[in-house]
Amino acid sequence: MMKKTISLLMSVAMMACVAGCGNGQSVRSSDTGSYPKGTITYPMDTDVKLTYYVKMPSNISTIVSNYGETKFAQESMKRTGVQIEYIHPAQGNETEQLNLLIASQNLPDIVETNWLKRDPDGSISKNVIYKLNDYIDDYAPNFKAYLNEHEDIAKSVMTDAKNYYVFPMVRASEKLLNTSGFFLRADWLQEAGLSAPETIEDWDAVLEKFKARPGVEYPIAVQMDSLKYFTGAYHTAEGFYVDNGKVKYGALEDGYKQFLQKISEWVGKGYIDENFPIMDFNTMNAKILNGSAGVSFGAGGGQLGTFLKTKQASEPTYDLVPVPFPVLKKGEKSTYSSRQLPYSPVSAAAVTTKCAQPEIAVRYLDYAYSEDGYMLNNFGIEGESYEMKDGYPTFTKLITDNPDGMAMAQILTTYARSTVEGPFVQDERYIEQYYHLPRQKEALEVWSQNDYGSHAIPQITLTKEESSEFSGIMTEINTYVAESITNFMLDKTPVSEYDTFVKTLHDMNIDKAISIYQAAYDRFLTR
Amino acid sequence: MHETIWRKLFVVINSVFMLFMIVICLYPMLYVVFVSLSDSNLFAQYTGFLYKPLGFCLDSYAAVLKNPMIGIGYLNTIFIVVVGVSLNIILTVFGAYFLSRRDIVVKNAVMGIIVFTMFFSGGMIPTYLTVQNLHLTNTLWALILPSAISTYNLIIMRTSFTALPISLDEAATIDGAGHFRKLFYVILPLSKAIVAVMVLFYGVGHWNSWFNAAIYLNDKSLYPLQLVLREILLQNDSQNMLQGAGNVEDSMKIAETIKYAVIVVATVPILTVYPFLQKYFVKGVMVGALKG
Amino acid sequence: MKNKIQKNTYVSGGKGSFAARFASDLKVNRAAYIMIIPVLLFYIVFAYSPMYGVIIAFKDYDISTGILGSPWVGLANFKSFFSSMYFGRVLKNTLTISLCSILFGFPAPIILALLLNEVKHKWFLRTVQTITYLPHFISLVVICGMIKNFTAQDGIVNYIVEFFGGTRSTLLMNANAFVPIYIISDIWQGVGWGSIVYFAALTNVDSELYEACTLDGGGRIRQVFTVTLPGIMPTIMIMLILRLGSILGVGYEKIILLYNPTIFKTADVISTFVYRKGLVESDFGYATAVGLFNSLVNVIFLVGANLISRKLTETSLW
Repeated sequence: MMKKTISLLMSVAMMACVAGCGNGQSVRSSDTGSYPKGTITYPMDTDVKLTYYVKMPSNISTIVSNYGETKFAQESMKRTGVQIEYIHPAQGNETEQLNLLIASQNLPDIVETNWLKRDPDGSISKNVIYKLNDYIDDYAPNFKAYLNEHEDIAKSVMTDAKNYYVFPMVRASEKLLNTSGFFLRADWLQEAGLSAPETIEDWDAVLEKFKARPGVEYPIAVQMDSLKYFTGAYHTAEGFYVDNGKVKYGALEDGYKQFLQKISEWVGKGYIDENFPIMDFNTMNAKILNGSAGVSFGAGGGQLGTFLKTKQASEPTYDLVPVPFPVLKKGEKSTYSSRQLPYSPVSAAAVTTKCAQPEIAVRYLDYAYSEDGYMLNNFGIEGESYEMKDGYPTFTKLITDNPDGMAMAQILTTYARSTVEGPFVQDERYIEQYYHLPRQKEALEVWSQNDYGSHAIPQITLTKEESSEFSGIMTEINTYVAESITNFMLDKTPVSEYDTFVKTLHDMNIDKAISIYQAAYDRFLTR
Repeated sequence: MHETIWRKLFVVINSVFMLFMIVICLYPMLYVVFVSLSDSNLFAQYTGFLYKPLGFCLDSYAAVLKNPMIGIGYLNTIFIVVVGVSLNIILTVFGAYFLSRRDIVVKNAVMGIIVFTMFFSGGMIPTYLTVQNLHLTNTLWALILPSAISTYNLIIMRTSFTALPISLDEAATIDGAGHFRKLFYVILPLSKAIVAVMVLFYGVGHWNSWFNAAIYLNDKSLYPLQLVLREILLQNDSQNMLQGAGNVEDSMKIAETIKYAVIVVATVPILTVYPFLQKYFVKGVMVGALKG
Repeated sequence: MKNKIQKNTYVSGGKGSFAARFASDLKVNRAAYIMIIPVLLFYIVFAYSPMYGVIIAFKDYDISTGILGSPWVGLANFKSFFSSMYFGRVLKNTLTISLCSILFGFPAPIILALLLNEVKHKWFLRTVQTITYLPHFISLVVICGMIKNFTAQDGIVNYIVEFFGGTRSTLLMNANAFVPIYIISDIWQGVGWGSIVYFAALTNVDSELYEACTLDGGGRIRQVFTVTLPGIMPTIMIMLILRLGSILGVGYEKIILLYNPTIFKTADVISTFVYRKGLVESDFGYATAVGLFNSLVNVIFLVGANLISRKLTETSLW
């Protein structure tokens, strides 16, 4: 559906471009003061050079020393006509460096970071970044058109005061939002004559069989963080979520108690390694690889795909099947999952007040939302990194089977932005090709079968007062909850004491925290 | 007679204890070397006692050493260590000498001013602004000047100077020596051991530091070794792979072992410094000095 | 006795105003004052000029408004730390870890240095020295990885536990085992490195004193207590004073790598608690306030220790 719409739009746009090329307006920076508004043709005729602060994608940091050296950056500069000088923070210290740049009033023209965490309205009123509403109206016709077509996204990327502050990353498909989940040993299931589990009851049966297999210590090898996805079966979730317009906190709900009961039962039966609180990421992966465990949780690319590829070479029967997030009754959908929100604020681009010509910066950023820019950001350069085959942008051998032996993600990062976060609209056809194994494609389907989309808290913003009160309450509650639920799961505290736990949470002012979120959520709805 | 038996017994026990220390302190380094040569997957599943590499795999070293930044990193670090330590030693010796003088009336006040800074500091942001106002950001001086003195080391050195026999100073005074002469011809020749310790402490400090480099430097060609290695580690961090961005298959192979290869690459050069400094830890120098 | 206070031969015994004494001292000891100028310059530029940042503790700090422009909030940041229900626990855990580390960790390098001092073969001595300082160079991530490995259910430590009749368990999930694990691994990693200072101090002990002691018929043990230990006592005392001056300075790096919710009870310290709060929101005011509280406590301990040391051993910072 989505795919068709996009391809249709694309072909229309391409025709429009063929027709429109040559007689559109062009931008000249020397025309002091008044820049042409509305639609223009790229490249712009400008000699403005912009500084652009962005985290260097870690997977290419050994290939290029500056993002400007990548094919993607060079092509964007060529196509837009704007020269960009990229500035990178040291990896792992992005937050500190940006803090220091703000404090020393030394910001580059464009800054990509998580502005949602940096009080967007405050950043505008304190003159750190431009309010983009008028600039978008005048100079970002492509982005504006996108916002007009997608009201839900528009709501997410504006603040409560209806300010636009960034050019965001949008994941334009469910497949792009559900890229991690549970997976099990398919060959073991087959031997046991069982099908992939859906309900908790199915899981019980599967785990019993798996546990009985020789060589299996504990069937489930997951880190503590992944156990929380079982809450979705009991019609609740971890942390804050929305239920029919009401904000709730998972641990206060009855379903959460049942969830803890189930986990502690499984720990007791030896289905889950009781060392899950200290389970190492690499240890967990090793267990599912060497067959001492049969269930794990992870990403479709980094884990599921890698395991299948590494293992099937030496052991052809080894197979992993992705399963939907567990439910209580057949036909239900889990209320919780690892689904992400369509607007990803992690690396969104804002124009800072240090930028002398914000119009040019906005024009540059808007290019990513044009049809050409969309293709460049997702797939790279036509004829080099992808070719259109029956209207489907297909990656070339250069990307999928790199002659220099570079991994697909690595070489693709030099041609496009689809592998990393950035200000553009992501296309699912990238991940369809990136997840090239049948099991990986299957994973995208089954992991998408959940209802967390209607329960997740959207990108709400708290006022400064709310935010400091909220963090004061939640620092303690997070500590208390982490400690308590681990003890419940390990049966160090009997689940019968759950009511005391809930009472303590109320005493610790959880209700105030909920009401802060509720108010912010209500404000969100009226945006 | 009785004494020598006990003495012999003590020597034996002491030697055994020293052997024990060798074993427990050498083991971690051997462990690091073993793991760096191991197959990452085998290692991740292994929990027992490691006494040889698990499998044999040089991929993690290849991943570290093929990085073109390693050479630049070494050069920058060597520059920082050589220049930094020289400055450290000069300032620390001057400061320690001043503070070890019993006759200076403001000695305690100066000590107070210095000790105060061990507890109260302006924090990262004001310090950054100071460094920036001096136009030091994005130069290697930003890694040298703000850490030109470690108060902790200064106090240790002062303590060592104070412990020197007062008679030496008196004799030098009678000979008509000034402060610089006393410092360079009387005190320093007797303080080789503590100067060696300071060279080691400051040197290792500069060698291992990366945080200042991370916040003060933008230009990659100025990166010290530790920051280069940190980027290699982050690039191979298996958790990064969750975002689907990592160089998945390759990283998986060396996810664990690369941390260990990095330690070997980063520490071997600095480890070789100590044996050279050890010759200054010799007793009996003082006697000669006193008689001469 | 050799630490006798030197009579000032130039300034007439403490008469006159401080200004007058200082002026005369400046003249007499001009060269020494020249030496201290670059040192003071360093402290003024890099320590005192940014020190106004301390006021962040009393402000609702906002980076874009700047330190001076951010609104004052009085003691609100301190209150929110002190009124936390975990304040007592993290303070207690911090003090427990720190005191145990002083009790067991502080003497360890001294003992090692004294024992090394008794080793007569030069090559053996150098080998031991070089090897014992190796663990200092291994990064915390790796050290903690080893600790996890060794204390796992099938790890080497559990062999020992089993040998002495205990049952195997994952030690890092046992709240009672955390402090010993932390302290022992600290000693293991730091004892060789820590002994270097004492070893350097030992070279300053006058060999004539040893000879004198031997002539008096003193045995080796007496020699240790009458010559060696007094010889390095100033260093020991100064190191102890400095150590007490960082009594609340238990860092978060190692603990973050080792702990988990099941052992928060003993492992959660001030720095880790603040670290976790930072994950919720980067709150500079709060972090600075906690830092200031730590500093005040540390200063009290340092000044106290200095006072006691001056009375008892004539060694002190000032």
